[in-house]
Amino acid sequence: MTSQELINSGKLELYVLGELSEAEAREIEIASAGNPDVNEEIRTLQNALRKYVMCFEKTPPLGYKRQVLEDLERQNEERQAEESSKKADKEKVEKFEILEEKSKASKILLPIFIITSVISMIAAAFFAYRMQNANNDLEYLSSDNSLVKESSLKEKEALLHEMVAVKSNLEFALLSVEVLKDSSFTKIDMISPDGTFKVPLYWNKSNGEVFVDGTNMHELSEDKTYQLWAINDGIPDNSGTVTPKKRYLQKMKGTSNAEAFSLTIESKGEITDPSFENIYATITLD
Amino acid sequence: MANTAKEKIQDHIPEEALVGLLRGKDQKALEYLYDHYSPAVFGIVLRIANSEKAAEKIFKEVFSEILKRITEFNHKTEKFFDWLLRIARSTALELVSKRGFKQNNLSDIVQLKVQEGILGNSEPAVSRDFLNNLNPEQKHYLDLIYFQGLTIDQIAEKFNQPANTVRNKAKGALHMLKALHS
Repeated sequence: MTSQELINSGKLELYVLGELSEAEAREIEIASAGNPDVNEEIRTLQNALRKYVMCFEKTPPLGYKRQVLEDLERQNEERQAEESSKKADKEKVEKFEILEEKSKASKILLPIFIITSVISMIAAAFFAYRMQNANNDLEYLSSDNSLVKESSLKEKEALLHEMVAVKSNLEFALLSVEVLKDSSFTKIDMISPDGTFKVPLYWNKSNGEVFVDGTNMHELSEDKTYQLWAINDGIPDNSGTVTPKKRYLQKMKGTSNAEAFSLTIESKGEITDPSFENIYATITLD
Repeated sequence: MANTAKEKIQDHIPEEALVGLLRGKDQKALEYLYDHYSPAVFGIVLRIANSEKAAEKIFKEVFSEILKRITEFNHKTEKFFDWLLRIARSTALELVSKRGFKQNNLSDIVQLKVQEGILGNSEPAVSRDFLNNLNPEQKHYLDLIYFQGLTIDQIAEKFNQPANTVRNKAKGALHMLKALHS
């Protein structure tokens, strides 16, 4: 259809009167976009209709202006109050979600740590009992058999080491329970580059304490280690190594300011800079 | 931005600057909007509501709607005044439809009020001449479409006429407007 045919078709009048379907109106808009004649005809028809509408102009009664402006001001204030309220609600929800998430994590991890603690206590009692028996045996033997004595001493030493390890695990487990219960800690999930797994990090921003849960981290070859970095103003700070599969939260070097945390895989030895090409998990904070 | 526009607000404010100030809820811009555009808006609302009492309520809500939707305005696709009239018309029609205000035989009222000098205030003589050059049937169709928001098919059904006849009469009315305008 030529522009003149379109102008004579009567479709432009129906378009201006809003009497075309959406698809038909779209066709007219496309046609007018590249056609000055059609565009001009539409504008003329719109101006004519506007002139007709303007014949009915009427100044509103006195007093309407004040009412309208007052209404608008009140609505504006209400909208602002609503926006502030929504913002506050959003912050509350976010905080609640963090607490909720911590609570969920606590629900899962707490029993693990409590069980670990109980097992550790039983183990400690058991080792203490065995230690006592070993002492008794040693006294009972009371012979000058040096081999027996040596063997008992070795057993006693091994038991002592095991007791120290159990005590240490117990302390870590109890500390983990404390962290999970403490609402000043925020749980932050560091995420692997492919998004398939998370390494939880607990950060108390006010005192700078940082803990990492390495329970589900993968084992590494003996020459490799996991290294945590706290990144502030683009500068990575070494926060220490993380041991995988530990069933308690591992305390890291603290920081009060960080825009990101990254866990990288490094070769064992002196580590000064992160190998960001070997990122295991990372999180950028808002 | 605001300062430059505010300095000019006493006299004239370009559309784009006005829209920017309205988006920022600038009080002087609101007053400017009211002072310059309220007669056009009130005229449309009054014609659609067909009663001073209903028009008063709708008029306030139309202004509120204009402010609420000011972020939708795009000066590249439409003139501000045309956008304003479009929002005023659609909001008033929607409110009238929702609240069940009656809109009986507006054309007769238009004719009567124009004759009585009730409608039209800024250019009453010019408006009257313009309107008087339209025949009652043409005014009737324009009113049904613009102020009552009826489609061709609805008019055809309401007045028991073929849709094609209604369509041709509506086009003829707009043609007459165009002729009078040019």
